Amino acid sequence: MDAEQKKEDLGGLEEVTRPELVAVVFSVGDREFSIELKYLREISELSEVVPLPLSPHYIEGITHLRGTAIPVVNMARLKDISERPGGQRWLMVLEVGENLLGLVSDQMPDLSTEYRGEIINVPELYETYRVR
Amino acid sequence: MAEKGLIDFFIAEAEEHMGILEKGFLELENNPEDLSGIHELFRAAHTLKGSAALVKLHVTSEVAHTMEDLLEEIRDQKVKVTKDIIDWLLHSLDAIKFLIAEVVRGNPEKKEIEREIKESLQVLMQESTLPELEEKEEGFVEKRELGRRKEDIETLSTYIRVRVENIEKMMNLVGELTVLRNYITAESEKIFKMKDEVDYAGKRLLKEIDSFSTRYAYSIPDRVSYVDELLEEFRELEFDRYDELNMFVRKLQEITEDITEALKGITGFFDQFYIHVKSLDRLNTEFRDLISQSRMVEIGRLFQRFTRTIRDLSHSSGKKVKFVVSGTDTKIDRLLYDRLFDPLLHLVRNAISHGLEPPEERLQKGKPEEGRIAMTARREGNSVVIDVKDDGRGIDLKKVYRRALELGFIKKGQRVSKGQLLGFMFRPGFSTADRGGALSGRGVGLDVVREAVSEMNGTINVATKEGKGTIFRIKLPLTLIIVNVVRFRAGGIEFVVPSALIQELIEFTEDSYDAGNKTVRIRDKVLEVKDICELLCLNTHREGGRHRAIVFNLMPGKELALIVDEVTGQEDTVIKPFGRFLEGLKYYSGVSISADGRLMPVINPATLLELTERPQETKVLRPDRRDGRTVLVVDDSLSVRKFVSATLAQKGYTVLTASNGLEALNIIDEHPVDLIITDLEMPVMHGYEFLRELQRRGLSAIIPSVVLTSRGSKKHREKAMVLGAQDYLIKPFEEITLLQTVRKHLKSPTPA
Repeated sequence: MDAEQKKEDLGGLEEVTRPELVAVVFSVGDREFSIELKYLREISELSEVVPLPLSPHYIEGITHLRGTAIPVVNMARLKDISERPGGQRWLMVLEVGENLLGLVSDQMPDLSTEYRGEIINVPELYETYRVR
Repeated sequence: MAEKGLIDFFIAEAEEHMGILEKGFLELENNPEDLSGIHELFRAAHTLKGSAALVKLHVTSEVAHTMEDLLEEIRDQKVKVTKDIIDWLLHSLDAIKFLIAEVVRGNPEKKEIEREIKESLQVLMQESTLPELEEKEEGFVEKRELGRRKEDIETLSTYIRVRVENIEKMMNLVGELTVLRNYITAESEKIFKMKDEVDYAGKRLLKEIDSFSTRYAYSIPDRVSYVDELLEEFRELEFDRYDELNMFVRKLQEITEDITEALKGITGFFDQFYIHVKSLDRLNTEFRDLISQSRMVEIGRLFQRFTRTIRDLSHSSGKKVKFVVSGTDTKIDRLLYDRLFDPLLHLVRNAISHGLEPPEERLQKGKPEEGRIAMTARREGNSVVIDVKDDGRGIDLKKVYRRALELGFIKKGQRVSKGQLLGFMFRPGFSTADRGGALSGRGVGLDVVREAVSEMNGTINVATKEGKGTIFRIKLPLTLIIVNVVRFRAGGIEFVVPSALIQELIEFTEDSYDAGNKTVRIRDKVLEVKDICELLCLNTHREGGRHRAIVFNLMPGKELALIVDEVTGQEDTVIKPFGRFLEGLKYYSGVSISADGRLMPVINPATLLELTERPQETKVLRPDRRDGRTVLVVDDSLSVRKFVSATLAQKGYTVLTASNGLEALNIIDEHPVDLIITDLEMPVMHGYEFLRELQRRGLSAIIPSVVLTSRGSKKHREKAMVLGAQDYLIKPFEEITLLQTVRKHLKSPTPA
């Protein structure tokens, strides 16, 4: 009886203190960035990106995720950071209203309970850098 | 009776209205006091009346009219809803159903019905003015059997209404299927090739083993390597003996036979599979055609919309115009239907204001007083060709030449062909020759028409003869969603371009290429040449002295060859437009997903080739940097816009203005904006709609908006706040309040 009681208490305690994930943290070169978690739709390994000649320099091109074409923004080029050369890169698919946007991270992005590094305001990024 | 197509539309529509009426009447019967639904019934009868008259079903229209009148009286509470009234309403509804059913069967309308309905109503109205003396046993002229008459509805049910959106979705799915089918077809071709190779290899193996075995299956006596005591008594030819080689050969034979069997099985399977793939292919095409068809509308309805416009234009211009149409049953994609109106309207306006001569001038020239504008449509293969033709004075080529000179398109004394001259008219900035054209005016030229047409993957051409008239010819693909494209490679990237825009694919050697003038001689023509790798700043990947090029004829009289690295194929595919983030990249019209699942940008030759025409213009795209103090003022009142702008400009803010929400959205699309000040009551798109749209686009979070209105109620204010407004100012307002509010909401510090 007593033991059961304890278990329940612990269960309750665990629930209260379970840390809440708030952000996705990723890095480009030696810089860290955070994005509010609600904008993140998914993370996948970055496959082929098709370049779009004559587009702004920070647009790496388009890639596709199960049949949907997604514009890919290269944060390194956008923020003028030197990229870590070679190696696997990750694609963070962000949802901005009804639209999708891909950001590239050169390390596996991390879901985190706190914001680290520069916080990116996704709608603002989207509006500022979309091609008009 | 009107033409069949229109009748079909009418029936589909009528069915819906009759459904509303029937349901409504029955509800009214159950609840005669409740008149809340009467407006809807009135409207349904009214629309039915109108559309029946439109397709010349006059009896039906009259019956609906009588019904409408009665419903109006009920609505105005001049007539009380009684059982008799309901019976009459249902009876006349049945009459309409009967009339339409007859039409469906191909019979004319029965005139007597109109009389019967009208008379019965008269009787009814006389009766209803009397106090209800007795419970009538039956409704008058009650011909209706008990229960609803199902068969009436069924005669009409070959049509249902479908939301266009649903058809769009289906079409998109078919698009996806097409891509998948392409993939399967491409893959299975590879497999078939592999199968053939395996087949061939198997046969060779078999043949080798066969010849090997005839040589070695039986041993040569002196090489028998083992001795079997049991067989000692037999001589060589009396008993087959086997050495290892013999054994091996026999085994090989056996295995080969097994493989042959298996191969036969595989071949059988693949033959069957091939048939399935083929039929998948056929079904997909059929499916696509059917769904395409269901989104097709007859172009006649579009043409019809111009009747009124032309009549009005003819009145205001004092020119007499006869409008004729043909090929009205040609079907076009609904999407095209919607997008064609403006370009056609522009051509019609041009024809009336510039093409047709005033009546006196026509008479002098010996032409009929009445000018003629003809719109014709026809199908040509996978395209629809639409002509807008007038019998006016034709295009004044001298004028065009002068204007081209003025604009610097040509140099003085330069010889240009008629085709080239006509082509100039489609260039941006050419505009209409006569400034006075109040009709065509509106500040848009043929370049806008061309752009609109090329957005639909179509082309436009013009032919003219002095004194005889002008023809504009628009050629469009049948459907927009599934497009046949040519794939090509340039600088290591694979692109596609819709085949509809391509005139031909050519290949030429260095000796026909004039690199200095950038021209190539093909057969008897000299074509201007552009290199896509130069346009897109790509490295070329070419070998040998041969060039491959795609010839476009986007502008009349101007053919252009675009050199690419390699043409890689042709396929049916789905073009997906870029999302909002990339929509400003106008050199592409979207992206296509190929059979092998790769993304390929879709080149928009209309804009890409325009880029080459102004090489001095360096096109570097970069995002607009916000200065943090651009304010957009949205108000339909010019004085408010002026006052607010002046106040803000004085303090160093950049001010943009719009007279309604829609205009404002367009401005936001084009320019960076840091703060919005908007009125609530505006035409076209009011303030609440505008705020909601900002919210939907996720813009409310980044661009604060302030409402500036004369509506001071709490209700108005709260609604604005719910829709994302950050502040609320009431007119009249003080300058200082305005400035304080602006300062408060702008993130960056004020400039002054």
